[in-house]
Amino acid sequence: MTLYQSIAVLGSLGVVSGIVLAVSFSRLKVEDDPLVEEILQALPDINCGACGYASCHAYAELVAEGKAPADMCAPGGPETEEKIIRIKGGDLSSEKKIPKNAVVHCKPQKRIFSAGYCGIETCSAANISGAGLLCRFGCLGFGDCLAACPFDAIKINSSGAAEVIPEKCTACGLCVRSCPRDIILMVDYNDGRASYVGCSNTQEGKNTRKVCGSGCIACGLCVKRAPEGTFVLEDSLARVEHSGGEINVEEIKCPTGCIYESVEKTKN
Amino acid sequence: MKDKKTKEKKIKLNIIPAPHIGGSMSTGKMMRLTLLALLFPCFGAVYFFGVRVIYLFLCCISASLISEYAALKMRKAPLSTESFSSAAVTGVILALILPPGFPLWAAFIGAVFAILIVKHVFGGLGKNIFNPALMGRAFLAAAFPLIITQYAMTPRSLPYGLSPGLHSDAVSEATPLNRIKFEEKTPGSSFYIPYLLGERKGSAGETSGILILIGLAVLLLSGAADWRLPLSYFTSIAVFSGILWLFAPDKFINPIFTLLLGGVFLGGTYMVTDPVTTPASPKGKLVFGIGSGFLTVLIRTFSGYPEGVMFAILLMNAAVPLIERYTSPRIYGT
Amino acid sequence: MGIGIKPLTNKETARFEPIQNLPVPEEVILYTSQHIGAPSEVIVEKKDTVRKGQLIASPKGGCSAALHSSIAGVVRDISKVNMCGGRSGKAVTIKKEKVQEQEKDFMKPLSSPDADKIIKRIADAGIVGMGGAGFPTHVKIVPPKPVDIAFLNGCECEPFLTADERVMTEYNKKVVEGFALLKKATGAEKGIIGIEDDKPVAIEKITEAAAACDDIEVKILEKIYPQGYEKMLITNTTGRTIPPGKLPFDVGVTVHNASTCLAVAEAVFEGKPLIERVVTVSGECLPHPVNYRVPLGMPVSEVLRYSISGISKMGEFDVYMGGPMMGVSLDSLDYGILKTTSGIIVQRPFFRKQAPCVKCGRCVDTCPMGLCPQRLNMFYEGRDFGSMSEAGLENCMECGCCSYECPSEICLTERFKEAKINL
Repeated sequence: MTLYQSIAVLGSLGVVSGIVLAVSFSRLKVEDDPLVEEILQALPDINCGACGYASCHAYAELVAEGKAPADMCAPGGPETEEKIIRIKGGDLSSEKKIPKNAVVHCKPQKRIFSAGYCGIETCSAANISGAGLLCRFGCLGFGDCLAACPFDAIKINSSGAAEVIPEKCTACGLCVRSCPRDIILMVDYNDGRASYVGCSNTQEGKNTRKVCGSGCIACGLCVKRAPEGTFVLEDSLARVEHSGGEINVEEIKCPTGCIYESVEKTKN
Repeated sequence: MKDKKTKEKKIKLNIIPAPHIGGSMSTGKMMRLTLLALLFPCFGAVYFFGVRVIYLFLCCISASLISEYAALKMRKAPLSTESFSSAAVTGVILALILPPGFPLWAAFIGAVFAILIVKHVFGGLGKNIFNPALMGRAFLAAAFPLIITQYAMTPRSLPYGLSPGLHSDAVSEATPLNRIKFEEKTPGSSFYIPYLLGERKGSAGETSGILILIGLAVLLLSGAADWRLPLSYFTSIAVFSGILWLFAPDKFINPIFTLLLGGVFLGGTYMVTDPVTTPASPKGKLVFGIGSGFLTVLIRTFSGYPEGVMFAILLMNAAVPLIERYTSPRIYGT
Repeated sequence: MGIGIKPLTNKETARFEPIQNLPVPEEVILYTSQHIGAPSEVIVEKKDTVRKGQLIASPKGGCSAALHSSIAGVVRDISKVNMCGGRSGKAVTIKKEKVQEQEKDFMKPLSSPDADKIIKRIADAGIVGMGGAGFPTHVKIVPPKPVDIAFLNGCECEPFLTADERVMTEYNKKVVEGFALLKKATGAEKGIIGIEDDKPVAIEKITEAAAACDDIEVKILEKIYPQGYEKMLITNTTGRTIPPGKLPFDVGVTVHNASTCLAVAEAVFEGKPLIERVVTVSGECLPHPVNYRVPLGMPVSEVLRYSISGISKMGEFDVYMGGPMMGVSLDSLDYGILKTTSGIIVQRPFFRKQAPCVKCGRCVDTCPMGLCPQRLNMFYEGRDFGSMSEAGLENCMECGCCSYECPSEICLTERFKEAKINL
């Protein structure tokens, strides 16, 4: 008898709660825009935050409402933009966008340390004291960018400095924000290649020489030898103004060898 | 000039984050001091219950150390001396709160549970929510309820005529608290001194109040434990049981027996002072002590259990995040 | 609110060492950015000959400070060089000339200046707060709100450091005079000199000198770290508390360092710009701790040369500028002395073990700002900087008390510094 009683009580309780749930589900249902769902499908859905919104979903919602432009997704690049515009039924812009990649502007042969470091092993903490690295502009190599990169596109190379793997980089810009020394910059990749100066030291040549064997000493040879307008010398540091195929790194013969060419291997 | 330069090469400079000096207390030292303070009740346990207790200690300590090692290896965490000494502390405390004749295999299981489940599942040293030793004991009480009540041993008599003659009426296997609770036999005031010295039935290390208080003095004077916790705990027990006793002296145990009997001294000295499972803020420490004291009296008086120290402290352990939230100090200038 | 810490003072040895002069160094490195605010602008050229006390860099903008040559010599180099603390900045390197001219080229002494003249002179002399922050003094004494109390900070609470104490003992009259000038320039009604009770000689000397002024009162404070921090000092003497994010002038107080007061007195009455300061050279690795009067920009290695001779030159060292609680480790001994360098300490490095936090709560007990460093650290370990900010991270003044007390030797202060940057 007790058995049936308990079955009856609990059973009816279950049925009642089920009905309440079913009613509230249908009453309180939030209408989801199918457009949002579709746009979300087109996005990489990695929630990297490069667009400046909290998640891919948040961005997709704003795009669907027309409150955000379609070209904010850096990892997706032009392809995603094209897809989103197709979904929304707009016109494709005719101008061709130059793909970008992040590049660490410090590629030393050897990093020189004058003291040991026993502090916290992150770049942002090490930057407070300099971590004993003689160059005040060089890569600290504790990998804050590595931790920030959602695509595993950064590695620490043999000299202990960070290096971007161009074919994995999606130009989301998270590493640029994470670097306390601001030495990661976005660079134009024309036909999958880009030239850059692997140094960020703005000290005068003789002081740069003291802290690194392969830093830019601001001799100005690159400005003279390369086609005009490709290199500029600013604040004792050479900078590539205009990247692309027209620069021949071999021809410039940089005395400290700090001009590099980064080639993107074809994506499979 | 050249000579000077080569000499300077031998100097290796280091970049050290400020401050460049440190205080005298270290976590390892805290653990060592706790182990030192634990020696006193251990001596008491061996004196009153004989060599059998030493096996219990060795069993609990080795079980904790082995499971600590295994856990650290599994978690790929560094094998630090701090972790091992804290595991040893857990082992000793667990042995102290078990009945002296407790089977070794069960004690082993309790210690393994304390370290693996209570400590390392939550993240190891410094991260556990509950006191591992107490949780180990609670686990054993739940898993083997019969064993934990059966293995009480009759203590050795005190010398110099201090013994109250316990043996003459030691028919019952019960501890004094059990007798008060279930047989309603309240001891007379002549039992104060022998009970303080330790001649009574109970778990291995809880009987000798005087030795535990020496341990407490070691902890407090060396700065290994915070004085607020034991002080507020003992005071709150005395106050709450005193209120009840004044209300109905024949119905409730007087405050002196409440403090002397059971595991109040042991709990107040080694478990309430465990830094990991108690609040970090000064006010929170007072709240924790008062709360544990209140719950101890409440459980002892109004529940089916004769003893309440263990559950009181475990319940308060669970309340620590809440206490910390409401007792954090006032920020300067606000 | 916590109470701070009572570290071993280690002052007993350098406390009674009179201030000594050092020979003129071969070379000085004068950084254009050794104060809070914009770097000053170099006005000399390479290979120029400069006199001792000659202006070599003028202030740029409102919050900046002038810079003078501390020796007579030739400008060898003007370039961006490495500075201590992982920074890099423009510096003027001056090479010594054999004949050192005397101080005849300094500014004209003022006999009884009014407030405007004092402010002008302080700006011309390039005086900045010499306690550590390096805030330009001529900006500090013209606060945007009226101030009623001027404070002389005689609490040198960091262990090892004795520079201010020696200055107060040996130049008691000048320090009080300089303080009176600052008080006059600020327009404060009252002056308070706060000295910690472990400096009986300095207290006696300063009280003696302050007896001449009716509106200057000497207050003796408990010896505790961080008693010398503006906020602690103001609260412990006047009872006023500075709300988060506010500065002392918001509650009507300005605070000056003892060495700053000496520099002001010398600038006004002798016309001498800020070209030297008193530096304590101490530490457990040095057999004879001393107090030196050092020309600004003198390389650390030169300063140490006179006291390092007795020690073994082998092994690992931790050399830092400032006191052991806040000092900045040097990665090279070629850096020049700054206007804000109160000490150079040489000791064996103290490597922190960084064991897990056991929540003992010592840090909470000690934090003078009433924060819970243990809780902040918990958030830090999850890299949750937002929660740290909610728990009051911005109030942390990086005094180092929590790191000092931590039995697990976690470098809490460094972690909080990093979190502040990442906010």
